[in-house]
Amino acid sequence: MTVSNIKISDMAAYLKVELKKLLPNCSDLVIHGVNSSVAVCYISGLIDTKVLSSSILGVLTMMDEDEVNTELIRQTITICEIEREGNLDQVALKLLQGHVYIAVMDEYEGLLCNIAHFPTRAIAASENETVIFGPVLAFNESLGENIAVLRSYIKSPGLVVEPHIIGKKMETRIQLTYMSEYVDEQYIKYVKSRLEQIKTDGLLGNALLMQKLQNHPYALFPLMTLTERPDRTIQALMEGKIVIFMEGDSHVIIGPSSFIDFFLSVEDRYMSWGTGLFIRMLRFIGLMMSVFLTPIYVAALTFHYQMIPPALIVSLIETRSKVPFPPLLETLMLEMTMEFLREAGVRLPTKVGQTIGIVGGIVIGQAAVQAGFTSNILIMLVALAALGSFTTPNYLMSGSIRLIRYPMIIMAGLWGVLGIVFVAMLIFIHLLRQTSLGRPYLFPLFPFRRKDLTVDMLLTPQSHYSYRGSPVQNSPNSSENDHTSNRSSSKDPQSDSNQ
Amino acid sequence: MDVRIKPRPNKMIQSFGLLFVICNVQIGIGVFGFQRYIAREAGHDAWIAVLLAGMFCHFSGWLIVSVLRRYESADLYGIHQDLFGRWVGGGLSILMMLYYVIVTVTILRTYIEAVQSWIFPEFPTWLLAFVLLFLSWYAGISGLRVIVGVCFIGFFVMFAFSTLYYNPIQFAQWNRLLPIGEATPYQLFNGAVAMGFTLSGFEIVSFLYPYLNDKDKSQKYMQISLLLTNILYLFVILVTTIFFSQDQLLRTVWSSLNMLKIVKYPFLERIEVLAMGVWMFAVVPGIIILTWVISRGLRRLFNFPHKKVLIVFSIFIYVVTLVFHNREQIDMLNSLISKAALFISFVYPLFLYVTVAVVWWWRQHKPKKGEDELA
Repeated sequence: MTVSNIKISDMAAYLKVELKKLLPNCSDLVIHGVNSSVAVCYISGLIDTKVLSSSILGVLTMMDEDEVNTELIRQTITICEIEREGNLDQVALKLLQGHVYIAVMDEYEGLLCNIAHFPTRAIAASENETVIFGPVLAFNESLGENIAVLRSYIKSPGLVVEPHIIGKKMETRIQLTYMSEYVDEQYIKYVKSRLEQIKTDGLLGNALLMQKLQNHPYALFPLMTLTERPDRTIQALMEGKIVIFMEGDSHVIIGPSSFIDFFLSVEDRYMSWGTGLFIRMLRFIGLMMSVFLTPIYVAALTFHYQMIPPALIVSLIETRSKVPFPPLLETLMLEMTMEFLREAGVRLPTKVGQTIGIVGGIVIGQAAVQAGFTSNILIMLVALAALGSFTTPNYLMSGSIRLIRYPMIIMAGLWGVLGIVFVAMLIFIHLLRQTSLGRPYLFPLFPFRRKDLTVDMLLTPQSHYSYRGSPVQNSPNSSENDHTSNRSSSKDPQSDSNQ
Repeated sequence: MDVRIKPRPNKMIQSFGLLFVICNVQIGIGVFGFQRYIAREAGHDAWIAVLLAGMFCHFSGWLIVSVLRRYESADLYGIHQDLFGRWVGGGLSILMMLYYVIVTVTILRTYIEAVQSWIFPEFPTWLLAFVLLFLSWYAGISGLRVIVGVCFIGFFVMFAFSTLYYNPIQFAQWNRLLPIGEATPYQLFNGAVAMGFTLSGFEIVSFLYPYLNDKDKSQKYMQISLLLTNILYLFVILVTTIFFSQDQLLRTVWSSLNMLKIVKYPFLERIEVLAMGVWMFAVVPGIIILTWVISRGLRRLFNFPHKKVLIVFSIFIYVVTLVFHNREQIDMLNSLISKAALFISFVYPLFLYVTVAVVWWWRQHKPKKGEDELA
């Protein structure tokens, strides 16, 4: 439909009628007549009012009512993003995205100016992924600002930012970013084909998008990383990974991720390599402890007394002498208490949460021992296991680890050491089956890649400063030189740097 | 059925993976109690018999891979058909599959028996068999890469546990090895024959070969994996000989487990209970590979879908496993299968090598003869 063919005296009155047809329930739509031939409309709250009054209204009111035309306005207004638009359907859509529409009497096309200003919060320190060293800032919910943060770190034109739209109703903008010279083409193909397959009205948040991107609906473990820290994102980009930003979410998706990626923190690199390596080993021991410690207690005390040396068994039996429950029940009760404390601590406001954790831990622990519900040693073991699980830097992963502990405890109570091995093996096979963007989930361990393992995991002094850990661009015959890998599409990092 | 298979590239594995697969097939539950049988034949010179058997192994492995190399990308089922035609070749393949069924059952039963005699005397056979077969099914449906991955962890478990045998060495009486070479060559040969079943299984490479990515390295990794196995067995038999007296050794059924009893840590002792449980990591890969080979064979011969066959077959093996009841039957099963294993791992490759050489020579000369006749 057009504006020009109908002769009416007041532009604003005309727009009011026509736009109300297209946006009938938009009470925040503002249509403002500058004079009888020029009208400005926008949706209040979505635009920057300062820019509106100074750069648009200020200019328009200065103009002579009779001489005004769109070309003149276009030349005088000091806004860079201006386009002509005659179709009111398009105008309505653009208004919802924070544009201002300037319509002039007797002209076919009006002007759309982008002065969108969505409500955001300022870029602040990361609260969920805290570090001691390194940049503290975290992404916020604004897509544009996040990309700006990214570009402030990586100035290379090789940084590719590809827009996509997800969801028929919500029309969420997402940005696929990667370093064009480092990334493996097949990951991009994989992500794009996945994005095309997503048929939905809308996805709220990157966590949901991540679940849509992985092809294992029953995966126990997170197959891609979510982070809100720019330094972690930049490291991933430099390693040739793909990062997905979503409008309205401060977390970005990093893929492909392998199992050990979830136990590494960017901070490890900021320390000297020895310290970093020590902390990584510590986390690995923490993982082992949190998974196996309490099941071993259950198995040993239920079935395998003979495995505990005499000096140790005396004190163990002494503390357990008053406990009326079998070890399985005792452990499950205490582990559940631990989970309750943790969940309660998360849900309560920060200040109250901390106190409840300490008070609950001490009070319940002390009382349980005095009442003869559990043994002292078990409390110690459960606390150690909980501490071990806290060392995992990724919240999604630590959740998965908490989950796999319960089948293990129960099986240990039923079948002893056989039960533990059974569940461990089941989980191991499960891990082997998973892929992240088509890459095996246990990547540097299996298929075994010594170079990647030393760079990703061990932090040798040589690899400490280089980011090029992962396999990069490939030619079909390169895999012949690479006997330790099962991937036909991988290449030696060293030979790639010669290109 | 095509003689040669062209698997999709994403289904293929690297030759490096042979290292884990071959070692896992060769070292299974047998490593816990093989010493007795060899010592019965060769006395304190058992280690020479093991060495001898190891050399046979290398030779046999070389023969197998050489035959496979001639065919470029065929498995044993294909070679059978190529050499002996559809019916005879198919019959041989079916015999082969039956043999692997019995081997799988033997491994399962022996492990279950070991668990019942060391940790849980009351543990129901049907339950443990179910657990093991469930694990092998779960890994088996996920493809060869996952299978190699499971073998990878089994490999590490095995070699990690073998370091525990450092402890019995502290109580060693080295003069038990003396005098070296007391056994007659005939006794040594008998000892090597007794070792045959323990070392068998490496012929599995003839089913994996088409799936190898870099086939030119297959011989290298085959020999390395055989070498690793032989070193491990040699190490274990040496430790056993210097730890036990001959009389004691002949009366010990699970001598490798008995030696672990003396390992002590301030927080842990009686490691053999742990070893028995953790050995599931080493036993299951063997079962996985064998069931994979059988279901592969059914797919090749009768075109049955792999995943469905695997579950049907697991149930079949499960039922067969439950048929055996007591120690005597398992022993009988073991002695029966050891003869077959000897034949299939050591005699049959030689036979196959000669047959292939003859048939191929004949095929190369036949067209020439035809040309002569035409001329």
